[in-house]
Amino acid sequence: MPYDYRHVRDAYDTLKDAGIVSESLPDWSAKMNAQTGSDDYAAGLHDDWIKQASVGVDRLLEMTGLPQLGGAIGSGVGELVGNAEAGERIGADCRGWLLA
Amino acid sequence: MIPLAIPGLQPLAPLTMAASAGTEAYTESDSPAAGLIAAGTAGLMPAAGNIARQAALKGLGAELVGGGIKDIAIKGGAGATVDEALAKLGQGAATTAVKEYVPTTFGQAAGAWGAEQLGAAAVGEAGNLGSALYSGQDYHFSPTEQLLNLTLGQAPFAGASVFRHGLAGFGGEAARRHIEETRTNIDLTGKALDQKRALEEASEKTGVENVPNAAYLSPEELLANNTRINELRARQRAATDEGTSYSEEERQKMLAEEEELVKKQGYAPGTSWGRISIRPRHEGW
Repeated sequence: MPYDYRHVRDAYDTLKDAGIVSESLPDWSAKMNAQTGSDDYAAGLHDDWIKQASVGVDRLLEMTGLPQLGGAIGSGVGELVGNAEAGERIGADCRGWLLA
Repeated sequence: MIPLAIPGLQPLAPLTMAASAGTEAYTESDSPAAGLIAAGTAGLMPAAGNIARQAALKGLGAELVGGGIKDIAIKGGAGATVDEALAKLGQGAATTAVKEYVPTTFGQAAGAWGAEQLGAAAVGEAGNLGSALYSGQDYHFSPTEQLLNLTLGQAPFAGASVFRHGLAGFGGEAARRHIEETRTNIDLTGKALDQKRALEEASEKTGVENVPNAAYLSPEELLANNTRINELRARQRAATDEGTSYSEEERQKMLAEEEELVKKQGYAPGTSWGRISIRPRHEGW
């Protein structure tokens, strides 16, 4: 199953920060797809400032610990109705209400 | 919550919410259409919630404040007197039409609050469906997930709703005070607007100092001038009807003479002093 943009971006940034890759995200994603013979890295083929900003906001929020806290609470609430995974995802999605 | 917590940024809340939802959906789906749909529906969620809230309050028999054509109020309050309201209008205070159902009992408040969350969540879910359809992603409807969305997902917005409506949102004494204050605001704003209009109309009227100075001629001079004007015009009419019998130079001289005579006659106020109609005095003779 293809990775989402955030996953591809995180992997790319980690490698780039370590000095392992120097090409752009789209080029690296295309290379990874070719190497793995899949389209797992397709989300990285189209990169722009909107996606970069969006990931930047998410990373800033994660630094505060709020998504992790919301996810833990959500997981607990989700368990009550037998869907801890959905509860964790909804609870962790604090971006919408923080900016509302 | 950030825009709501910062004074002056409250009106930006739907915009920041739309931007956040739009960029998030676009990043996840790589579909601009999905991003736009998510942004549009997220931006509409507060309005949808408010419509649902007002509909529920109407159905529950809550008290209506405003609703008439003239029910306009100054945003942020009109003050205590018409003069204060007028001063605020003079400083450029914004006005808004008022039509609002206000809960006066806790039952009405609870019903309105629930309807607001349901209305907003329904629009949000419609946006999720639209985004999924446009981006080609799978859309799963799970009752337990919807229940979690309505409770856990809406909890912060429900909190924001309580914050936005304040104590008046719970009904009771605070709500009745809010109704009285809003009605007083409407009353003062209406009177201040009437006064402002009257002042503007008065200032639009031409003052005596702006009426052109007329040459005070004797009746004989006025009659002679008028006779000459009529002669000149008769010659011009005859020339037009029967063909030109004088040169262009003569025609220009006649026009100049006529203009000079009209100026000499001066101008007289018309019959309506409210909006002075200026007309040459010789007209109507």
